[in-house]
Amino acid sequence: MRRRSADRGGVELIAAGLALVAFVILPWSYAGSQQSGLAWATGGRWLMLAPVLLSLIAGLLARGGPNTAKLRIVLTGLGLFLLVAYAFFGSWLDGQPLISHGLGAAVLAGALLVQGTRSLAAAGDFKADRWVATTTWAIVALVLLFVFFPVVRALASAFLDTKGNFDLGAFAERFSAPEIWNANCLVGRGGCGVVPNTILLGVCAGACSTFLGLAFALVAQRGGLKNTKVFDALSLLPIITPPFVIALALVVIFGRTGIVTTFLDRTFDIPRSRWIYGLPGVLISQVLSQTPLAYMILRGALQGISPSLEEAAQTLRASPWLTFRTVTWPLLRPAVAAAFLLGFVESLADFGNPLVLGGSFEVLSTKIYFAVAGAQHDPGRAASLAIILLALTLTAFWLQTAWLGKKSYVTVTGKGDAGLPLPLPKPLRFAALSVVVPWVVLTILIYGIILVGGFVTDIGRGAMTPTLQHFVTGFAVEIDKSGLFFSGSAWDSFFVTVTVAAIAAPLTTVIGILTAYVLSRHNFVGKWAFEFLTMLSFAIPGTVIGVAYIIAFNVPPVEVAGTGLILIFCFVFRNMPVGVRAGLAALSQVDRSLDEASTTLGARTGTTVRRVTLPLLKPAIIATLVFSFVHAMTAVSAIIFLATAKYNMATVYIVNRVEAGEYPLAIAYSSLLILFMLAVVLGIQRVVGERKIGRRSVASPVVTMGAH
Amino acid sequence: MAKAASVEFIGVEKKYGQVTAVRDVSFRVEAGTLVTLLGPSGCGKTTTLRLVAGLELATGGKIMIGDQDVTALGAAERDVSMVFQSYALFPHMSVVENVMYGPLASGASRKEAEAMAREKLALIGLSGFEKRLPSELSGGQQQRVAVARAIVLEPSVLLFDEPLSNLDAKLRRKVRDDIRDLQQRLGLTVLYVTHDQQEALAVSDKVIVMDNAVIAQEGTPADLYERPRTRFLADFIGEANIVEGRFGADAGGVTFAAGSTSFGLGDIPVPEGASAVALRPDRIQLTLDPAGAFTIHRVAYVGHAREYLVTAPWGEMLVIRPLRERAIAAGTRVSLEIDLGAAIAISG
Ligand SMILES: Nc1ncnc2c1ncn2[C@@H]1O[C@H](COP(=O)(O)OP(=O)(O)O)[C@@H](O)[C@H]1O
Ligand SMILES: [Mg+2]
Repeated sequence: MRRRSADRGGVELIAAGLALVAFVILPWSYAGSQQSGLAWATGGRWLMLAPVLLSLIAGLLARGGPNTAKLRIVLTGLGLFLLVAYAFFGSWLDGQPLISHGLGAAVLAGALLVQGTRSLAAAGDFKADRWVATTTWAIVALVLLFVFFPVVRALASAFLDTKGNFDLGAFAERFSAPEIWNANCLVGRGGCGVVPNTILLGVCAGACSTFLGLAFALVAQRGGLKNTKVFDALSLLPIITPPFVIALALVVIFGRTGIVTTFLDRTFDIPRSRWIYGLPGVLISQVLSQTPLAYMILRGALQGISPSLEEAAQTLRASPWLTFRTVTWPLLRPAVAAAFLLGFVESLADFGNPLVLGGSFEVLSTKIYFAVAGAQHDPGRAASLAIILLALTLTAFWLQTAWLGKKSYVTVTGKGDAGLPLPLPKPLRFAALSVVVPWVVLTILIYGIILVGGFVTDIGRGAMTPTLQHFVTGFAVEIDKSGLFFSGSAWDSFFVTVTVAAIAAPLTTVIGILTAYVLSRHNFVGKWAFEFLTMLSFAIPGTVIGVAYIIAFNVPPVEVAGTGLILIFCFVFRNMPVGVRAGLAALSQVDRSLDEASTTLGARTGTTVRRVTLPLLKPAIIATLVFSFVHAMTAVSAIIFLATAKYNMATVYIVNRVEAGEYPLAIAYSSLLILFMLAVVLGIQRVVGERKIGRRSVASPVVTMGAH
Repeated sequence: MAKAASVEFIGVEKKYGQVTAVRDVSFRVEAGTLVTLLGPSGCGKTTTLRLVAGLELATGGKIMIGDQDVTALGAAERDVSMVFQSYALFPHMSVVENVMYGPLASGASRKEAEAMAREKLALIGLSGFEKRLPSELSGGQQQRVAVARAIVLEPSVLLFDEPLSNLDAKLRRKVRDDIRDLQQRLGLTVLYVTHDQQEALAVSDKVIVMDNAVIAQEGTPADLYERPRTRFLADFIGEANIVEGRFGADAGGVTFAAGSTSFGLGDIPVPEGASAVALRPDRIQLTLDPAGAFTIHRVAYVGHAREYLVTAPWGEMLVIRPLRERAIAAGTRVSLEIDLGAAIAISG
């Protein structure tokens, strides 16, 4: 006999009651009018009454238990449908303009969702598990609203003319512009269009960062070095560094008045030039920021190669070099390809570096930005460019799954032998070290510049007089009668950023981990679609999301542009896939029978999750929290479209300083951000500690993804 | 295979930092014999095996293979092959490519290598599986591929590290016999690591028992079972009741007194300092005796015999009697008699 409590429909009734109360009391809209739903309805929008009535009827029917389940599914489904249909297409139905939706609408929609999904479970869907049914559908609804809808809506505007009418001609014209496709540079005549530029940059950045990452991984894992802490530190850097900071440092070093440029000019009479602006500069900065990522992928792959494979080769008389060539390298190849594709995708999505260093070298992400933010303000063109960028990105991801999915090998091992990994063959070790060492020096130089640059007059022009002026400008704090007064010009953006990040991080974690739980522990019809939807925003470049949000959420029914809310939504749904991945990885380590054991002991799914699964997921949860907090503080590509004077973000503020030529302040602020996040990450790592597994110690899983 | 060579360890030591995994170990494996290294987990068996393979280099002592001193040679320079506990099959190569790997690495042409590989695959009964990937084979088949790969170069010494540990119980006996068969058919020198004493007794010409980084005792399976020298060995190999007491002598030979009870043991060797006897449970007779000092505590029917737990003045004893003898009920008083010559005097 199951000890589960019988479902008497109490929750459904409460949901319906809440919906009614919200409809009568709460303001229906987020922006503008504070009227309740009831007031709108009685004011002439009678159609708005239908959903709440349907919710009430379904709530009352819930007393009947499973017998009325089918009927309740129909009623609540209809209610949700009407709510959404009226919100998006109401003007076609009753000729009145669309209205903005807010708290009241959200409560009603939520109530209908809970009622409907519990009815589904009561009818036997989701193995009759109400908790899973509600969670799954809630995630679907949120992702549809905050990822799928804005992207589709924005991309659709590529097909609209300036008056908002459907016009294929307009699309064809935008899409085929020579400034997009022209490939003159390949045949040596003039500059290329933005697409060849983007692909060229992506391929170079992917290849270079993979090559460097491989060298680093080989040295760290097999180089016979006693201390590899410096590599671990290196792998932390991209997580805590805002994406354009490296470009900034490169300007300070190699720009026309840069340190190295000036030195070469004075000492060797090498004339000053602007070579750093354009492909070379963007490439170097992207490679600098992506190499750690490639390093982590490849190092993980190297660790995953069982040492006994290499030992077996040795006992079969293979020399170290032959062993590397025939065993280690083939097993590493899928990871190399993965690192390359990821580097390519990261390069496409990067916005900060091309913005600072691109000069006349334009790539899709900056082009999209200027199409919306520039004087031209042409959302249609931005949308066409976004379609191309999205297509490129999705192609790369498709390649990754279609091709690499088949290529990775199932290593067959039962009980392991704990062997010793093969040391690198001597020539290879030498080659790897000769790549790694200069690169480490350059990296240290760059971070040195960032840390020092804020404390001197103008490092970009070689003015090295120590000063605190930049910090005073940005972060002055005055004390007067009324208490502390943050008079520095950067404080506002700093506080907004920390607040938004602190609100978004736990939300991201909850949604991400719940999604992972549903994906890994439950089977249901359409699971693949669910998986695709939740991973969607992972594949969408930040610039595309930014454009999509600003186009889609600037008008009813969801009108949140210009508020702090849109920033939070943006972060939550952009970072959610990271939580999903971390959660999936952690859950795959945990035997399913553990939570089945708990369930058969009579616990409800909710209890099982709380008592058994959650504690086991703790590392993934913490990793996601840290990542989404830090990423919310460093992101720029999507957020630059959404920040406003009132809700400004740290990164956007810095980018604006860079564009205004105020490098010292930008550098000072960047160094502060980096130190702040370093403190956060290290603080949490200290609290959580390192896990020891077997003979080797493995650092707690820090989830990584470039910030862009 | 004429190439089979002997292996000799002379005072070999292996340290990992502070940990001594192998301490002053000396033994000899004659060419063409199968010798097992037996001992509890962590005693240094795998390390010893890896020292033979050249995957670890000794920090002291000398290792000989045949007449060659290999102490300082690496794995690729020794004529030794190994079957790994995890099999360590190359996951990106097909079965035949796995087996061809050794010949190719030693400079054979592809054609020669493939011919050699196919021959060995046929020998172990895996013809027809050449093109499969290791992940498409069952555990037992994977292991046979690993064996084929190891013997394809006709090594002078072949090493097995717990070859049965990844197989299910049913397969174990068969694979064990197959390995022994192969070794005898090809006249290989085999060093075989296991922690299972039955397995060791069943396959070996000689067993070397290790404990705590040193060799506790070595000998033929019969030697070890019938004449364990220490309490650890008596307990580790087969089942034994260990009884503390004092040795004496009378006309019938050795006597042994445990508390107030005294036994005649017959003519057995008693080493210097022996302070206990090991009694195999099937070498003890039970006689109904209302005045006996022993009580049957529990009887268990286990199919091929009856197991009695007997309460003795010094503790519990296990006695196993064949089914053809009459059953004795629990609670019955009995007296014990030890088969003459069956008790083993042990020290420590
Ligand atoms: N690479 C190593 N580093 C440090 N200690 C080791 C290493 N390999 C083995 N040891 C130690 O040496 C001892 C013997 O190990 P091993 O030979 O694997 O035992 P067995 O195979 O008998 O179970 C153990 O205490 C083990 O912890
Ligand atoms: Mg072992």
